[in-house]
Amino acid sequence: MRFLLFITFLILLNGFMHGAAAAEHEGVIYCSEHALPYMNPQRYQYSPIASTLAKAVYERLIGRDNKTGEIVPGVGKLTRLSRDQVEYTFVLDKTVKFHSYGSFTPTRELQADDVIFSFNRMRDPGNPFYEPFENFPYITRTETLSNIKDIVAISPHVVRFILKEPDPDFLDFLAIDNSVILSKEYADYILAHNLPPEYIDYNAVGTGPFQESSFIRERYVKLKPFPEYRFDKPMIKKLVINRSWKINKRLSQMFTNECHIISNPSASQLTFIEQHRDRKELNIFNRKTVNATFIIFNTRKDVLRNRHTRRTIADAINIRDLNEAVYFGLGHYIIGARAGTNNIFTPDTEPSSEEKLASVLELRRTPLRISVFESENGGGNYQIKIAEILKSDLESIGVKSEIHKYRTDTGLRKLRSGNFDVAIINVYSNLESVIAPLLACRKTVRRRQSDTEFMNNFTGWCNVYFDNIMTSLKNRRLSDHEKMSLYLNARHILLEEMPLIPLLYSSNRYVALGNLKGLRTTAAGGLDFRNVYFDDDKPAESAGTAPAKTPAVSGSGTPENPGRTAKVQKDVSAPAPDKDSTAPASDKDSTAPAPDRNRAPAKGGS
Amino acid sequence: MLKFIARRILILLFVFFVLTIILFWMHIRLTEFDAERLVRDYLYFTGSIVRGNFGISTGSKLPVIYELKMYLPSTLELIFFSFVLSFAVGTVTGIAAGLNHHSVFLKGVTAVLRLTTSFPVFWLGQMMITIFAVELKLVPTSGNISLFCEVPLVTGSIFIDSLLTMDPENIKSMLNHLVLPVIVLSFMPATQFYLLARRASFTISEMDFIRMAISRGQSQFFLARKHIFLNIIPSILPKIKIILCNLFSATILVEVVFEWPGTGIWISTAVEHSDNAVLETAIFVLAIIFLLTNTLIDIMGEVFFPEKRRINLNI
Repeated sequence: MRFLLFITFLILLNGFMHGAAAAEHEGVIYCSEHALPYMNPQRYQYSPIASTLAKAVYERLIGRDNKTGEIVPGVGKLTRLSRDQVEYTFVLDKTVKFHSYGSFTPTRELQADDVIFSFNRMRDPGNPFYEPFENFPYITRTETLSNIKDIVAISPHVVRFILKEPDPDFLDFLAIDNSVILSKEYADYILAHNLPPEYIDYNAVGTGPFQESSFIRERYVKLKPFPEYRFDKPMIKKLVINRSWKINKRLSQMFTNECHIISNPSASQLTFIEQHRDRKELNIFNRKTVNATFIIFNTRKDVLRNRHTRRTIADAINIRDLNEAVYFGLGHYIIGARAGTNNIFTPDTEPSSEEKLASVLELRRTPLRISVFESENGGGNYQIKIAEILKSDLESIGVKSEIHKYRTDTGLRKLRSGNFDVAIINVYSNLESVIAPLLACRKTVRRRQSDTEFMNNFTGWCNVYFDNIMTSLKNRRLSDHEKMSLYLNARHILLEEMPLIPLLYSSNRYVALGNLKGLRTTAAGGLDFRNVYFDDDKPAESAGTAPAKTPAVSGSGTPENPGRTAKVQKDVSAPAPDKDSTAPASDKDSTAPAPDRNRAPAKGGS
Repeated sequence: MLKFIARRILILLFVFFVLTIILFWMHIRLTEFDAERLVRDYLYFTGSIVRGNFGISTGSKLPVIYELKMYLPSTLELIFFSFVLSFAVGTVTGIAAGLNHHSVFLKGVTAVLRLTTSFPVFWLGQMMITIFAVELKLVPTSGNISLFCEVPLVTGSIFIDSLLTMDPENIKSMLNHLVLPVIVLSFMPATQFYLLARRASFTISEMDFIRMAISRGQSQFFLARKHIFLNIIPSILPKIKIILCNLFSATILVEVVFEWPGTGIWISTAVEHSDNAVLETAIFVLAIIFLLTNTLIDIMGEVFFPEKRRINLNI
């Protein structure tokens, strides 16, 4: 008893004596609200957190240049594309080494087998690590995988993808952050030791600049630099991605040195953060994400079957206020406004006043149900906010509504069964158009679970002409002029019919300590920690210039590796001198091609 | 005495039976009701949970026991330390207050303790974080050890695991993280112990043998240690069950406030993902631990302080 007492008091004394941990500038802790269910980006949506993990731990066969959007080599290089566009041949880099994990030590470099395994586990039911298509949520179309006829190793370092028919999106699929290369050798190790096959998704064996030192599901990922990484090794000694549930706590942890970077602070904290930014203690980065928010209508419901009622609802929404209230004015419109109009959703033809009145009266008859879903990838709070704004906007025209919150899985079931009136949904997509899958007509006769092309169209609205435009837009041989006219047509149909209201691409906001430099954002809105370092000497002045300790060597041959060039660091590490300058900084950085092209109709309109 | 112990164990078994029935109902409530298979299913279900086979978490697709080994010891160490702390502080100040019940200072202590217990524990935790972590920067705001520390998982209790690493950095960080949650969690049980001990020692101090001792000129410290402490323990012991019960539920809240990686966080994540296997396991294990501790306390009371040797204090 006395011993116990002694220990307890010792703890109390000790705990208060030492004070909070001193600033150890050897590692970075990134606190995010995003769930961390897996270590393998294949199992995530195309989302900021998946992109952060994928860039840190893994590499891809090919990549995309962050600035120009061109396909660049990753661990492999596209050397031959057959004339009928169905055979893609890649030559692999012979010096790519895999991480070791626990008692597993790789004995060989990356080979064609690893590439084949990484993709076969998603498409070949005979593979022991096979999971059904639904478990790889970043792939939005079934055809992407079912179109692959075979993947063959021509030699240990040459791999060939053979498709059934040409797919213009195929290289995009390979280049997306989530399409990582796993280690076949580690998979064999799991099988040989009779471990659960799920280990492949929990224990990361990749080829990226960081390797896993520990991972606790839904709590944190601890990473350390991979000593045998081919390019410049990271300058920080430790990197921790920590899931931090509470928004208030994340901010206070910045001041106790428990977090160095936090994501998405709340609007109420912003003034406080800006005060600290002005004192150069904190930096704010904004990054457009590929997370698009839509309000969709269930056109099978009587009240919403009429396009005038749908347009009345769209008219009631002030999207600019919504952007201000939810995204601090930093959201990007999915569809741009036409010149000379205030409201983005003004269609080309104005409905007559009788039609307007009739639709309002019809809407007033029964309250609308607004369904919102708690998203696992964050952003759920935004949706509830949007729903509240929508509700108040509807009240201003005298329409009553109720907000119903659902968990993601129940929500998806309700959407699929058509059991909703109005729903607010989040879509992550790297596809050519983010709208097309949401409005696609049913193409295949079979109705299967994995028939996503149809599955994603929850509205029940189908317009063959619109669908055809969307299909023909995929043709890459179109000239810009042709594309433009097609976009305008599609936009016209969309605004006349209004089966869904395209709202905004959300913006991710990161707050980092002022002395943390070299932080970059990825195309998906995630963070790239490769070049991060602490700059204590000149916390304020040195921003924007290439620091002395940065090696001048850049890239070392492979363009996907972001070399530590001075220009690159200038973009994000410069603390913005005033409030507005954050927006241009983010714009400059958001030249990633895939999400930009998602806004295709916007270009046509604005 | 043996009869008493046997009765306790029988009650324990009965409660265990009821618990498994409830868990079994939770388990099958979504499936089709099949009367023929009911008994066989129940036996299978009980058999597997007794053997520690709690099924597979729908979230991680790994056996629940993996995560249980990680989260449960963290909760238990939090409960253990705050129990020890609150018992020590509560009884010591309680006895002092009982012996000097006219002291204005100790009346002040009563007032402060009563005030702190009337705050909900999560609010108190948040306030303590704001004051001691954010403003004074004395302790960290959350977690059980700095994220930069590498502590291999051996027992699951961060206290033992970090001591095993023998790294002063780890131990320092662990103690730093432990202190605030333990204090916050201790307020409520400490107050209860304080009130119990004060009342009991006040009653005892009116008794003849204490007056006798006072008239012999013995010091208050000696009185408290030799005569009062051991005599009030049998009266406090049965109340420990209620205090522990409150402590268990408060721990879940405190864990969430301090993001202490224990069963509280585990349960809240499981609720978020509707991971039934995890919920059933957590409920089962916490209930079993609670039941066993209660039975143990009852038996201990009977063994060390039999009825005929107790002073009945009626508190």
